[in-house]
Amino acid sequence: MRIGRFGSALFAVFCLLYGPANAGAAEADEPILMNKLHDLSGRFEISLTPSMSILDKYTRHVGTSLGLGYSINDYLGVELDVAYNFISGDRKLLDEILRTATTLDGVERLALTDLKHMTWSASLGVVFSPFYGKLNFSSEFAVTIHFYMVAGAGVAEYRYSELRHSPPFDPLFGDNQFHKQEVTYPVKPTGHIGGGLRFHFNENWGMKVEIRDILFYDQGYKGQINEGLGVQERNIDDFVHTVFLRLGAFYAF
Amino acid sequence: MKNIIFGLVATLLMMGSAYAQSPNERVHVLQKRNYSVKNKTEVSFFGGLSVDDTFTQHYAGTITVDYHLDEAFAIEAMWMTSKIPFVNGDKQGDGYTGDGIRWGMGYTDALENLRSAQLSPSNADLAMIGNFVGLNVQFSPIYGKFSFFNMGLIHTDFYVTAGGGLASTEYQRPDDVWVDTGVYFMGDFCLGLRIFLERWFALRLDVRDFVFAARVENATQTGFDTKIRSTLYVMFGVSLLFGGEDPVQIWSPY
Amino acid sequence: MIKSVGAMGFVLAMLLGWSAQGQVAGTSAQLNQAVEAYNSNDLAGAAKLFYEIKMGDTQAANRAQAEYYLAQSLFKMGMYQSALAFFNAVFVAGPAHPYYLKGAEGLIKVAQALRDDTLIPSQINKYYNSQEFARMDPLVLSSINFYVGMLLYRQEKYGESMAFLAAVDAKSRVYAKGLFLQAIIHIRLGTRYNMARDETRSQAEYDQAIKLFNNVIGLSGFKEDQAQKAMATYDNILRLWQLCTLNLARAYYGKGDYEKAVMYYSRIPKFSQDWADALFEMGWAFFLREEYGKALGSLHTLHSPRFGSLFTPEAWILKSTVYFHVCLYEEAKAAIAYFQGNYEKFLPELKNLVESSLPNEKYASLLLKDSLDANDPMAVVPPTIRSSILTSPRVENFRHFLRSLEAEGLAIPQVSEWKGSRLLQELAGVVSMQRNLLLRTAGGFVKANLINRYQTILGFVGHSKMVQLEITTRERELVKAELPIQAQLRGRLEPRPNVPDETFNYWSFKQEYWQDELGFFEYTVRDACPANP
Repeated sequence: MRIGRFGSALFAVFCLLYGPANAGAAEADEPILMNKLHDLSGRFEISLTPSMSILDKYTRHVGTSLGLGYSINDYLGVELDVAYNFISGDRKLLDEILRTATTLDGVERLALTDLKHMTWSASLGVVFSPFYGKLNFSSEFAVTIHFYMVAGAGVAEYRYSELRHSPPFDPLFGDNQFHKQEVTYPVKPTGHIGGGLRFHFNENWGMKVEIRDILFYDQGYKGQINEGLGVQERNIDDFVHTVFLRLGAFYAF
Repeated sequence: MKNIIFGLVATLLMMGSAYAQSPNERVHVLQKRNYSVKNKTEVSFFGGLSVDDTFTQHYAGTITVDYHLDEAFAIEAMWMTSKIPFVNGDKQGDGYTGDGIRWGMGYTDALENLRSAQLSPSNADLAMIGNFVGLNVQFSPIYGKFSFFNMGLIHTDFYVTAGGGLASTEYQRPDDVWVDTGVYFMGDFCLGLRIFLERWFALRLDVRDFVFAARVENATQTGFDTKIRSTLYVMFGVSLLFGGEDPVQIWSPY
Repeated sequence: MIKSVGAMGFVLAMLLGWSAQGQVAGTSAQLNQAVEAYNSNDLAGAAKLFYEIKMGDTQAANRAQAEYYLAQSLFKMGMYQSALAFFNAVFVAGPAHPYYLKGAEGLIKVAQALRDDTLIPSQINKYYNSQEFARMDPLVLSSINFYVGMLLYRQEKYGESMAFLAAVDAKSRVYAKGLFLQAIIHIRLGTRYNMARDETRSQAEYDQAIKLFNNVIGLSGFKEDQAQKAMATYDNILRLWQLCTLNLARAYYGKGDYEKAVMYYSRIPKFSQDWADALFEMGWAFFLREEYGKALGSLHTLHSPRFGSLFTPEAWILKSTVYFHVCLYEEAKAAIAYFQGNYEKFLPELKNLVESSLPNEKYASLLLKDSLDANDPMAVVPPTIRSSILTSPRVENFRHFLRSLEAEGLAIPQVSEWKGSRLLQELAGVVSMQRNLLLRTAGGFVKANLINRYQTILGFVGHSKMVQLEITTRERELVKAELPIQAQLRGRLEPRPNVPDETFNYWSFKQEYWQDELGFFEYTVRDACPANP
């Protein structure tokens, strides 16, 4: 799974950041920061984050999500997130492959992984914010940030494209004329994991950049292939990952 | 669009005054950087992998040498390799696939999955970067610091790198024959993070995108197709920094 | 026969080059037995035997030898206070005692082990015999001279102190300390002449001090490898380099060269024990250079939560003075109010304490106990004052001394060989007596410090009243001139300071105190002074 590589990369980033945190502790008994400006403890947060999917194989998404969070303490919080994708469909790459394909006679469900695209999702998660810092832009201005990680579970609706052949399939001569038709999957339980940066512009307002991988286990999907001996079915069981890049605003109170 | 940019800049510039202080005084911090890079030479060793290609998978070793002209700008020479350079491990018909030479080049499960579904991608989507040598300019406008649970302090540099160089690419035809597409120009763009652990040692995380025009045989092997491809790498590295400003010791001369 | 064996043992010891501390040769049966026990590391047994010889042997030479080796045995057992009693006895016996010089050497070893820089040096000084000491190993003599020099310095006998310190051998581990102390004496003299308005002599003293401080720092060769060598050669030299830097700053400050003073103050490592002093004094240097923003910046670090309850009454007076100079009277009054609310209010309690008839040992609990009972007279000392006393490096020495005494007091009855012996009784008595002496000394130290804090605050109360008076006068003048009282209507706020060079980062301060930003604050203030106030 390609997404597995991305997961490894995220893990490595975490290790990379965690390691030096200990190494950098110059004055063991001294707190690094006093009078923290953006302490999250006991605060609520509403966020609106437009998003787009990245690292897709055959699908693409553009949408937005609405979140409500509450921080139990400065490091740990919970969140409720709902998302809707205005654009949810196939990438050009898939269309290109299908256009040049010669062996789709009678095939309605492609025997490929990662075909499912998400339309909406709702989830509950835990937010962990171990890093707090600030960035200095060429000594002109600075912004305070939190680096956080998020994980949780929820539900989502997915769709995928089936092929509809028209005119009806001719068993003697074959027919490569088809169009795609979207089919809705039943609502699926999902898990998600991600990380991001929260930029604080003032006491209440800020901006978030986040990468979130929403996944579900796709079981029971029967793809079809035609190897010249007629259409045969094949089980495709796989984790379907949709990685979103989210960029939006939040209001904390 | 212009309005949005102006709005954003105005918001950012106003951030400094968002926190009320006495009207008769302002407090500023003029902080000597803990980790200055000016006039330092930085040698970095990376291990990286491609993350966004559907069908190709690269593992790459990379060496970069940066010279930091000042705190913000550096020039960087780099060599990235997924294949032993200057060696063509197979020729049509000799039956050798050259896996040992192409140690960092391979195809993903998605290609196998696609082929087993009796489908095939364009050859251009199968082209892979074997070697790249390039020259870049690095700009580090953002200096950051993070506290970890209010215990440790991490100092970082965020940078962008842009440049180009020469690359060799190859792809494997469905009949398993590797086709060398020759050497040509490739552009690269990178967003990176440097985490300082010592004045002479840092960790680096680069997200580097390579853009190239893959010129490959068409499906019927009767002509050539060209497709603009981009491959995104995530790279982890260690840096050794030499030269630059000596740390001030209590006995240092004034 | 035994005698001859003993003699043979002595000769053998000499032939083998055994040191007196390592192996002992005896001249009587009992002495021989004691020596054997000593040589076989049965130190408790040896001590008991040496003690019996010391108390009962008919030959004076044996008694003298036993006395010294009794001290040595106890020293090796880690019973420093007990060892001190017998080394002292050897030493005060004078040159007639065959182990006189070794006794002096033993005292120095005990002083180092107990970190005692007061009682033992004082004893050595009392019986100092320059003629006899001239025969001593020059390195040991250097340690003695240093300790005595330090003692005399504390007694403000600067001339005598200098004589001892100048006699410290350049190869001695305390050579750098000796140079440093000489330089400090020059600083004291410089200040003294300065106060007497003898500018020429004051400058000469400061110059001499600067030369000596530079000599100490010069032992590093200003290079990493030589500095490492120096660290291996001289006691505590890294700390001395820091102190030299701080005192160079003070010397230049004394000379009125504030630019150089700031340069040296800036070198004091952050978070080191001298940093708070450097920040405060740098604040004065900036103030005298009329760099008010930087002066306030130094004080901003000092008043940050990092320094919490640091005793800094003068810093608030300085702050009010700086604000007064830029005609920010409200801010100046706020600084004075802080001083009054956090320091002046302690005066009645402190007065009671320093004027009370409590014996000195009652004061000792302040520094020797980690927590004080409610009925302890020292429990009323405000935490700020207490912590200011506890930060003195001498406190740790006192505590170390006390811990050592208490450990020894517990260990003595546990030695099985000594059960029911006169030695045990005598040692227990020595430790108990020494503990009482220490309590008195530590108590005296506390009392002196409490008096010092009381007088310091009292002095600044006077200053604060002067500033308040000046402010009132200035405000009246503003009203008379029909100028607004509110500062923001009177002047322009200075622009953001320039970044010195690209190796600096600029951050605007948002009430957060990042550890790595402490020491880098700078203010811009409104110059609210009217052209003709």
